[in-house]
Amino acid sequence: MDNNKLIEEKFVVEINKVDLIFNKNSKKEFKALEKLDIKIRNGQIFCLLGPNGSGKTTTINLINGLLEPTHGDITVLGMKPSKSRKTVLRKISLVPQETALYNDLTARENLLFHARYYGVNRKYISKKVDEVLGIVQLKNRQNDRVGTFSGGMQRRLALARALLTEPEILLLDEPTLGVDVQSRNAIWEQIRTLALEGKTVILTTNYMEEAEALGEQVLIIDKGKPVKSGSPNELKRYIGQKQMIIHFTDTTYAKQVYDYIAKDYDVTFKGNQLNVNTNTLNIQFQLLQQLSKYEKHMSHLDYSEPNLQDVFLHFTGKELRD
Amino acid sequence: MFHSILAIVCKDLLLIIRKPMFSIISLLVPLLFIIFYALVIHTSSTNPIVIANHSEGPYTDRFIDILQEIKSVEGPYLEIITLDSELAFEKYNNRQVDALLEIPKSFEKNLSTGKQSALKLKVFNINSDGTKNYQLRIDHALYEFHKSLNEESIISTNEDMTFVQDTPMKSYVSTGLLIFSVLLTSMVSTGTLMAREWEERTAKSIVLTPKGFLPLIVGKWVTAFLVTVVNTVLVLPLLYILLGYPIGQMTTLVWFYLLLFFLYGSAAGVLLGVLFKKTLPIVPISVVIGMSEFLVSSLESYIRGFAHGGMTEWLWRLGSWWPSSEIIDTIRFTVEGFEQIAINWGALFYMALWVGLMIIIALIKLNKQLSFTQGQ
Repeated sequence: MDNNKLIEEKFVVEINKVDLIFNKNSKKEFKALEKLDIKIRNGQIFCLLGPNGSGKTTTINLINGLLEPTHGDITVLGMKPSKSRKTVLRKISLVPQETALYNDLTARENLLFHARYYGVNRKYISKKVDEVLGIVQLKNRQNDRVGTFSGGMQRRLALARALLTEPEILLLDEPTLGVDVQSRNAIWEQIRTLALEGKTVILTTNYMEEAEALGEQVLIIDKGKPVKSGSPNELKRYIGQKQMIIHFTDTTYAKQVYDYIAKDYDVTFKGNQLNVNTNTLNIQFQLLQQLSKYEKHMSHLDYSEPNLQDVFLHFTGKELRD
Repeated sequence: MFHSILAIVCKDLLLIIRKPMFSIISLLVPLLFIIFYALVIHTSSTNPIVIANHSEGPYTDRFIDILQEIKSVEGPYLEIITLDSELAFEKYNNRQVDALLEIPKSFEKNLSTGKQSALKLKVFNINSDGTKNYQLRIDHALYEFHKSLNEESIISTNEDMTFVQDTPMKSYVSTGLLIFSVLLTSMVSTGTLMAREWEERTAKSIVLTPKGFLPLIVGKWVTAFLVTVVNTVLVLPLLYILLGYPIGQMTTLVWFYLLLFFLYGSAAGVLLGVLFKKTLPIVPISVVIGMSEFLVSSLESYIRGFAHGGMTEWLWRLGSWWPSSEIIDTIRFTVEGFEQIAINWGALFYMALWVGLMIIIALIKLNKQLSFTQGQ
């Protein structure tokens, strides 16, 4: 039991103080990643959240060994991907952004080709293809050409292809890019199931709701630099407190109450409303008791808490990206 | 490794069957070329000429008989269309024929009195090779004529022949066309097969398997080889039927040389594929490369006909140094069964070096392009 716990606690991916510089010592020198630190546990869904060009795919390429860090260390399942590339690639699977499927082959032919190229045991190829087609619910369309598939179906098929080789780590680069809500939910469900089965899932996204829905651990990355990491709740707590929003029937009363509580509470005054930072239920209860004499001048109460988008914009700013 | 290569070959053949456009183009271009050349060579090898004869008498008759009788390995030296003076000028002026030989009225009288006589050769000189062709044939006819009269030649020609024996023009061009076909098919097949992996954005998922990119490239070459074999099997009978290419005399060595050209074309195809990463530009660029190779090295002696200084002179000099030129000539002599032609080790080494260099460059370029450092 202790041993199992020990295995579960092991980091499957460790990135320590990694810098990645393209065209070093030339005029075109470009720092793609800077001081990147990531530790991912076995069976975790780890989410890299960042705007376009922030270095998400570059990080994925470091993990799969396509790139080598300029400084720092990276280990995947205890191995350096650039040195033990073949062994690492046997244990990881990537679903790239562009799905990488042959449009003129059927879904089944695509999977059969990949399994044969990868070297899946010939005896089990057909069974394995059936199995993964079942997982992504594409069995009924297995003999249709991929060119006729919707974006969501193609992404599900790409996920099936990644599962053919029974990887320990799944790298999903923007897994729901451009798909409809139904397909997105189906893909999320499949990702959760895979994590429950013990697979480590590393995904990149620039969709807040995706990071919030899936990420047990989220790293916000911007311009190649790690900005903040934590669980979605930790991140939200970091940038702001829960707020109680008190609406008054008139601005005059709002001002009066503001003057009354400003010395005791973190409060802002906006027209006929007051925004009061209230982290605990206790504070909220205490405040409402204090304001009972103004009850007839209060129209209604709202509660708000920061979402991941607020967190994201807080850390990455509002400037447009390329 | 074997199963991975097989997977690539099966997948690519299936895709070729489902999307055969590029394979059809790589077959059609050489076939059309062969048909075109078959027509051109048929007309030019007979060397049609009109004779504007103003003279009458036994000397004249004898000279005309010789003009009609002299032959080469390709057939009669000259195809005399007419002896009628008026019709001859009409045909020549209307460009229905490229050469006119005028026998003056004084021809008979001068010869019978032992005096010299001058013939006039008018040539529509579309290229100097054609002009030279007529000049030499008329020279030879005059030589035969003087020999029959026991007279000394009036016109003498000095020729510096590179090769001890002429290759029939049809065979000469056929070898060039065969090489063109092999090069074009291998370039288009390998190039488009490679570019498709980028076009469909599938290259990355192949590279990110423990098998790496080696089975990918070998698989592409095997598929391209199969397509080239099929195309060559279709091209050869056409060359035999239309241009009389001696297929039966294609020795193992000739097939080996063709394999070298396949490797050359497929290495160029890989380079084109990874450079453009799109299938569409590969076909026209391959045609241009194939045509250049055909003109510079396969038709080296044709270009020599134009080479009198300037760019053409340089092009011809480049052609004579181009690695494949000597190999193409060796193929010509081998299929013609010239005994004196043995394995040209120097040319073979030079060509092998060139092909090896192309393959190394292609592999380096491919490896670099498969780095996928960027995200979107």
